[in-house]
Amino acid sequence: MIELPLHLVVFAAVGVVFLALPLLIGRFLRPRQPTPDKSLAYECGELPIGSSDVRFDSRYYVVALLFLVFDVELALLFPWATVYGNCIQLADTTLSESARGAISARMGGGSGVLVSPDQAISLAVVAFVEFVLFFGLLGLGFAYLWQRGDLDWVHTLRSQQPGHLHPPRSK
Amino acid sequence: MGLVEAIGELFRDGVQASPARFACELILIATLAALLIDRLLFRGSGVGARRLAAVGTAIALGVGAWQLAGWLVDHESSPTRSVPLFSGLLVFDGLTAFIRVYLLLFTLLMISLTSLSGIPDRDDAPDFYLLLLGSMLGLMVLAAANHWMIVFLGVEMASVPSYVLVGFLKGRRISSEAALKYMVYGAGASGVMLYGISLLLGLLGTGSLSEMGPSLLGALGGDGSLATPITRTLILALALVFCGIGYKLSAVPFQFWCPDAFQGASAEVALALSIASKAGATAALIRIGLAMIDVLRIAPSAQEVGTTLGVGLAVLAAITTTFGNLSAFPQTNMKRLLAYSTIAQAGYLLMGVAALFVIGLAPTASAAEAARQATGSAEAIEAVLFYLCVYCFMNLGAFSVVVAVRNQLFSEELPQWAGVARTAPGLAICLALCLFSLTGLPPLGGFVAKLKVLGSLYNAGQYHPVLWGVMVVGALNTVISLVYYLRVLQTIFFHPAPADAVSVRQPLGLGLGRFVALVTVPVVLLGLIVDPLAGLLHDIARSLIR
Repeated sequence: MIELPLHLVVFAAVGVVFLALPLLIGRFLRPRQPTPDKSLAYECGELPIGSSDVRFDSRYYVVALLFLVFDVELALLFPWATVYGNCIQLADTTLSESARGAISARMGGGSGVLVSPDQAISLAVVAFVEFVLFFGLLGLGFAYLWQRGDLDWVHTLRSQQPGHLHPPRSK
Repeated sequence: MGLVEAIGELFRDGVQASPARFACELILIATLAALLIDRLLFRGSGVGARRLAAVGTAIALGVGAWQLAGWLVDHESSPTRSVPLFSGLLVFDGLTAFIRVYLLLFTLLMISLTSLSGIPDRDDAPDFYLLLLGSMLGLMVLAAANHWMIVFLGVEMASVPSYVLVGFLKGRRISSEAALKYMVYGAGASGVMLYGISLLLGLLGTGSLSEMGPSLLGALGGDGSLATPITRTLILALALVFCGIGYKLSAVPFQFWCPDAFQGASAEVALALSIASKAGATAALIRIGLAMIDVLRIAPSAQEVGTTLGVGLAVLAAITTTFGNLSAFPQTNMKRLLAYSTIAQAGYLLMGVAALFVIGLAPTASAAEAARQATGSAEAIEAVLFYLCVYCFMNLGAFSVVVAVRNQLFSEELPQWAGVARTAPGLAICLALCLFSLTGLPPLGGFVAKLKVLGSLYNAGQYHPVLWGVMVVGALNTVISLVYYLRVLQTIFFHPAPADAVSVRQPLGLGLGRFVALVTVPVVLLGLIVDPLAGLLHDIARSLIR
């Protein structure tokens, strides 16, 4: 059991060295010519306004969260789309046997396996219903957020309007 | 299995067989969608979120109860242990059916409690019930999980809504703080758990709980002693997975969030956290235990791993109970006190699970021995499930008294509660019954539950003597816990009320009082009439042990 701790130590040491080494080399090699422009905070080439040490608006957080939701959803859709696409192709009854074999093999069937159109259709229907349910629920949640006004950039003002989902509290 | 067979299987399983057995969860999902649509289209002028949630849960409960009954009938005619759902991601068996009914019944009681207590208000009701039902859905999935990723998914689905629920009282500093603490802690725990799961997947090459055995046998070869790297990795991985589940169970050393979250959240939310998440986590632990028993049946050389895990769990359980009880001593906030009390109760649940691990995973010498082990394991599971049932009602009772008193006194501080028994004797008596039951005094339900757990610990002690030690600690802890429960009762019954105090009036026949009485009755009944429930749980437990 000496090996495992030794491996860990070597692993950690290599990690530290490879982080420290470039920094150290850079420190000795780079020319040092500080100018006021260089020490400015970097804001994509714009001149910075005010201090960078401010509270970050949590509105960005909502946007980021939404982006994440739909990003992950897309990642989930890719494998689904592959299977669904294959199934739709296989469902074509006029497909030649060699093409059918090739698509079946792409789905992991191995050589000589042929997926019949009936089977392909059954799988495609299941996949489609699953997709509609999944996307429908996600869309419903999205619509709910939208209607609640959680996506509005200036949401304090809008939520004060009468008849809105977020009536002002009488407290 | 070839591709053609796999497609056929997928279709049969995914469309014809599984959704019927997954009906409770599907109904809950439909209810969630209905809640969203109701708010979206009718803007609060529709059916109302509370009624919608109650109806959805009641339908799901009806279906769940019908499935449990159906399972019992089927089980008597042809004993099958389990039916895999959705190509083995979930499993339907007695435990799944039982935990579903348990959680749905609890949800229904929660909805009626919240409708009586006025939290959440009308505006927030859709959000509240969405989060509550979503969290229950996660726990139901967790209890039925047969794949490590589903275990993780279940824990997350249950946790994320509960973070929001803890911070539900908007604009209260302490509430936001509690939610943040809970979330940061939860994120850490699930990260660690995911790491454990990734180790397991790497080690075994499969995520399925029921396929662990064969792949472990392949990985181990013949040598299953603790010295091999594989067994060590296995123990490490399972210990890391336990971090995530122990956090849901609020077992030491993952209990830090519990008192803060309970104090910050409203009593209703604390109630949901204390009962539902513990039930889900316990069911998941039982599932892991059962999977390990199967593993060892196939790969008996890994025996030592099982015993190590069981004894480790038992020691953790003993520490959890002792820690919870000792920390509850100086508390003056009722919710905080009950939080520590739930930590202690989680210890007892964990003790039962530890007994299952030790008995079920012990080396089997002969056929007679194997039969005795099977009986012992089944008794341990039965004890844990019985404990869960009683725990549900006694905690419901204690927390609903907190809700009732808070609604009139606007305080959860114990000194303010002095003399409540004079003006609201019914409430005080119900609270006393629940607290005595939490202690484990006869003839209440808590006594029977504790007796069953300690009994299975005694059985387990015959396989490993440490369990006898844990049993003694468990028994001693009832005495410790009696002290602080009695202190609460002393304040309520014997201390004079503060001069400026509002007097609490809550007859048992009205509103919240009726609810308190309703949930206290089972606490007493389960202590007097044990056999029907114990018989049902015995059947379920026996069916789980092959």
